[in-house]
Amino acid sequence: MVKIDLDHVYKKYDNAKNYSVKDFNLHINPQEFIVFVGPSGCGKSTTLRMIAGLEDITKGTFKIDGKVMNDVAPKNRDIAMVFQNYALYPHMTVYDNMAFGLKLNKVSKSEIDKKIQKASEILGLKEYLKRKPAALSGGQRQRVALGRAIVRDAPIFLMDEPLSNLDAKLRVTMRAEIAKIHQQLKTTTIYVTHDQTEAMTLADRIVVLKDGQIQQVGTPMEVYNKPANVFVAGFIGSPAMNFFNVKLENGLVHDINGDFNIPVPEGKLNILKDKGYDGQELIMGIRPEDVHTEQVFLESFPHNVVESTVVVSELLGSETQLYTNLGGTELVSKVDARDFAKPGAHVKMGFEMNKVHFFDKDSEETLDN
Amino acid sequence: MNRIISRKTFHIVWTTVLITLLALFFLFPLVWMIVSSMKPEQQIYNNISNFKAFLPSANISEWGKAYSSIFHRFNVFRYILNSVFYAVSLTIGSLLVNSLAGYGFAKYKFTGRKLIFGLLIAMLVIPGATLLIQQFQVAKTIGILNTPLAVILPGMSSPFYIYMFRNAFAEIPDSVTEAAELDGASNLRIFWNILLPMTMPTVATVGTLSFIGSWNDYVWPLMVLTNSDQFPLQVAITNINNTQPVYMNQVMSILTISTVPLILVYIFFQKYLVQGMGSAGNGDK
Repeated sequence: MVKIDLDHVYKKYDNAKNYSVKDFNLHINPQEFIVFVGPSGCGKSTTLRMIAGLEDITKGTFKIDGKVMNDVAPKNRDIAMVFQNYALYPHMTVYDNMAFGLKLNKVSKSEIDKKIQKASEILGLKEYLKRKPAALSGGQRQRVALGRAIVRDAPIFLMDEPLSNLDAKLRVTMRAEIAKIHQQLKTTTIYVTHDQTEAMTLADRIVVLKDGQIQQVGTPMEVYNKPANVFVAGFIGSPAMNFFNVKLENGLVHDINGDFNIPVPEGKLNILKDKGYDGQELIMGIRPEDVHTEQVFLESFPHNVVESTVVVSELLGSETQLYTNLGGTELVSKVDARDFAKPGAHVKMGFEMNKVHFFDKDSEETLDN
Repeated sequence: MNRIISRKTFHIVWTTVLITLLALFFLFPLVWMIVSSMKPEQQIYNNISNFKAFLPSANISEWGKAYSSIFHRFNVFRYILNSVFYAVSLTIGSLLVNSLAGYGFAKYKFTGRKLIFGLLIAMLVIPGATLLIQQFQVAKTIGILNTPLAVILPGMSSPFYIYMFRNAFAEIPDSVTEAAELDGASNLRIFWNILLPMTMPTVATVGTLSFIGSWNDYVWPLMVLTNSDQFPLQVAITNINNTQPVYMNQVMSILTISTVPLILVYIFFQKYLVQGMGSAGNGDK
């Protein structure tokens, strides 16, 4: 199990004006499961490909176990990678697909067979070993791709959106399998995805990226509970966090339209005052799950209640998502299924102000701590 | 209901008749050639104006006579061997050279790639005959005239085959190459073990076309070879046709012999030929 260090790594493609990856600093511990998450074009795949050696590093150093690897050829980095489109060899059987890398590394036949039997056991591929990829379903193909990585016994796994070609249901199953495999093998893994659910469920630590820059590195709970800025707050969590442009005056926040006027809890208020935001404009963020419609909550916190009209409502079985308009922006709330309301209905909603996040209006950085 | 069926039947009947007529039209020279090689020369001329022109000699013992005499008079076996040697060498060479060039154009980024490839495509419109003199000069300068190399080397590379291979390789996602790279494969191994097997239809098409092209080539071997022992079959046939006395049935027999390999190749690789030509080498899809 190895340690990976990325120090001030930059990437600029030929003929490109801007850097695709800027000042990327990350230290990955042995056995860690790291997930790079961000929207398309944020540089997450580029970074992964630089680690694999498939792209050159423009500036900065990349080390595996303290050794600089910038100019080491991909095949000498001892890295196994799983691709989004599986990248299987279509003319070879499942067995040969997995054996190819081992044969090249001059592993003995009996050893190869042992490894493949073991990997196919883990992945449930035993009965498909003689088939060619064309005769497999998408999920099975992705399993073969995983198997090809597992048999290598490489100390580092890289996974580039491995589940995005699968249908929703299969994606959930495979996600659990990947988690299980990591628990068994404990291989240092870097996983790229744009799906924040995958990031939350799989990662030991999440790296949120935007425009080639790291926005935040932290455990799933840190990233969820203490987002570093508006982007991270909006990207992690589903449905996304609601944001309001508000002004803080006399211990209350009110929106520009005057739709609400809510007291800020003392702890948060003191922090904001200490930072000199009294009387200033800020961005307030509240997650849909922190907006309540239960009678008990509305009665306990009468000052935190806002009123609005439902525009769209989605009943998801165990819960309901209500889309309303408030303070000139859309407010999404995730409430109990019993509080389902039809479009056009007038609803009262209570903000759980202890869970609200405040951000600077210009820098969009967090003001919570 | 009845009318619909009868219309369908009618359609089948008239298309079958048309196709049969067309097939007969294309087949009759071939049939005439084969049956003419199976009868005495005098009979060919006697039968020429009636349907017997399409029947071999009634006397079965006559069928092989033209063949045995032509083998007796000329060293046909030698010519066949020459042709096979040229065609097989050229086919293997053509597959290697063109696929490697196509691989380079498809998977490597180098300065001037677009320009060189553009020139290559432009060369597709230049008729081969206009290049004969220059090619001859080159062959003469490097001193390979009158050697088998003179027949084989110039035919190996072809812009069209490079273009077909380039397209076939370009269809294969880069991730496959990258996966093999991470598996520890060298560039040449990726080409040989991964990419080339994935373009089998193109390999079969280029191989077949190269073989046929070399087998049928007449002008070029005639230009570069003077020693009749090195002649391929096509050149030898002209020689035989010009060597007095000329027996028509013997000429037909050697022509038949020269056609057999082509027919075999067509039968075995027809699927790939149609596929490959139709898609201009659109990979393995």
